[in-house]
Amino acid sequence: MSFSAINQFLIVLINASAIFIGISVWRHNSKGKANRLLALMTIYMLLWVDFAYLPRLIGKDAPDLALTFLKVSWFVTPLFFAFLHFLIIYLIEQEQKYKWLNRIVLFLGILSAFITGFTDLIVDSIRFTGPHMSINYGSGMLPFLVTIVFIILVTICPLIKEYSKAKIILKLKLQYVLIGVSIFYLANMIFNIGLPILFDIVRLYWIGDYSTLFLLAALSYAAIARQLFNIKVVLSQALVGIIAVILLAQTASSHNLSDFLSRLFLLLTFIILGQLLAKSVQTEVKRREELETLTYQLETVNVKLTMAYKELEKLDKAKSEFISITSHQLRTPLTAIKGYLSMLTEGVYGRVNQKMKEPIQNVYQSNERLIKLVNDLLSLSRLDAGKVKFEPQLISLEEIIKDIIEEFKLPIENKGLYIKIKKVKTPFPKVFADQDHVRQAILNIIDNAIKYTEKGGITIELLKTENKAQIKISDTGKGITREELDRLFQMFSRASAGNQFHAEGAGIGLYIAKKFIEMHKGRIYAESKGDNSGSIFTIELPLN
Amino acid sequence: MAKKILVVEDEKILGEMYRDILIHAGFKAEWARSAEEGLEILPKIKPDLILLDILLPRASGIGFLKQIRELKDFASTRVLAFSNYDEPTTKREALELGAKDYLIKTNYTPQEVVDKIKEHLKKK
Repeated sequence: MSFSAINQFLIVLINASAIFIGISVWRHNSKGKANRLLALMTIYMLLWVDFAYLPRLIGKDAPDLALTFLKVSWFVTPLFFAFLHFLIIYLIEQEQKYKWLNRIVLFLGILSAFITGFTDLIVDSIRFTGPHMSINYGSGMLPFLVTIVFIILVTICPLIKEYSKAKIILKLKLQYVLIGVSIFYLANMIFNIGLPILFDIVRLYWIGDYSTLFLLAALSYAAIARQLFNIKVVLSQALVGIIAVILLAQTASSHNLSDFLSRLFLLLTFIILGQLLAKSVQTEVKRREELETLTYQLETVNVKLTMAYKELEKLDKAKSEFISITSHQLRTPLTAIKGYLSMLTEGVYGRVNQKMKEPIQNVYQSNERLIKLVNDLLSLSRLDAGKVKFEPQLISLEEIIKDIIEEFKLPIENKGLYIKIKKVKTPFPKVFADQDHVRQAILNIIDNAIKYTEKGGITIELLKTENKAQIKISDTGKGITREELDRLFQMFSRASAGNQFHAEGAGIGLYIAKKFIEMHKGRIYAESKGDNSGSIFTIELPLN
Repeated sequence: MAKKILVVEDEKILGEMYRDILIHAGFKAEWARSAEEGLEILPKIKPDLILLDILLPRASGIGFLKQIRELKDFASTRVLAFSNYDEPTTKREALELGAKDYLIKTNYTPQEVVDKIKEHLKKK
């Protein structure tokens, strides 16, 4: 096939494709600004490409008409670049920001178009060398080129800027625009400007002109998303159709029977294979569409998940800080109340008579409950957030227990109970554990025992087996029923006796104790024979 | 001779309370309302022990501790970190900077704090 035949074929193909794209875009949404701009650009593109082709077709037989056609083509060119600029600015949603730039581009586009179309300043005349046509440029060519390059730059720069900032979904969309625009600009700069003007090479001009098709396809895809994917199917069917028509024409013009039969065979084979090709393209497009849809959905979900995760992280951090600071703020007045009350009873500010001592001690006890509640809530929030630090060291259980007994001296005395630690015969070994956590676990159990014991008292015993240390805390209190034992260490669980006699327990002390002991790979459990038979709580910690 | 204690505490109600109990217990006690004030009076009173709050306005107790560790005269002065802010990281940092203990204020009555101070002063 000769060069001229290829050119004819390409012109037909480009016209058919452009008309198809233009109509599809228009039908998709005739009121959309992007669609209108694209449809308009399709008309400009056809004027540009066709009127650039016509002078070469009629050639030197009608040079004046050829020059007029060429000027029509060049008249359209700056307008096409200007409309491409508007469309890009619209697609990246920056119309407001570039309002003035748009006006300048419109002015420059119209001015260049009119100077090109109605004067000889840009295109002066044409000449033919064999089958090729050359253009004699006028003195205004350089400003014209500067204008075009200016429009190109003010179009591509905002596009690249927005593309680099865009998130996944918009980025994908802009990616098509960027590829289409880049191919178009590059082809134009090389084949329509660089080669003809600098090196007088004009035979490759058509590559620049026809690159508009890539541009239109990419822009249409970006503007109306995936619906235009079937453009590929239509194009492949159109291609098969055009070749089939050419083959049919050749068959019809056969000179003899054998020629006719061989061409007919070729035509039929092509039609069958062509159909198979079109069908396979259709299948591939369908699969790709499905894949694109899934990818799009996955990316959307991914973006949402990432955002939600970041938000959660922020909230989690804020919650932890809030709890720490709030605990500190709550503890400050509680410390002052505790301190001044104890100093009052100890006589630092003068002697306090017996009558006053009792109410002061009641206030002190209530304050202690508040302190414990704040401590428990702080521990609970840290456990909940997984932020409890585990810092084991060698600790003495005896010392911790003695310290706790000292702390409970007052409530024990007030209730008329006893609290004792059974003497250990040999020095009890130190255990490798987190002092604060073990202390809080034992303290919570003893506090519980005091709460549920009305008569008698609490006995603490330290036992040692081969590989574990046991702390047994027995009381002579109300006891625990079978059902209550099962859910005793759950959060917000309170024994029924607690509901009758003690409203102040929040039901979190044993839960925290269990969690802290489990951090040591230890065990905590309770035994009781039921009503009024007391209970025994055992904490087991590994010795090694 | 009475031992000298410097209390660094920004809460007026607590600062006065600890100063009172320490004086009552026979110590010579001074109270600084901030880390900056503490650093200013430190050379004047040359304390035997510093009872140091951690959450202080502007420079924190940790910052104060870092600074005194760089001063030749106070590099080994006994410090008891004393706060209601009990983040394990802060606690570890204070102990690494040489604090003898990290006490949670609400867990101790003023008399118990005095006992702790006496206990640490006895240690060599």
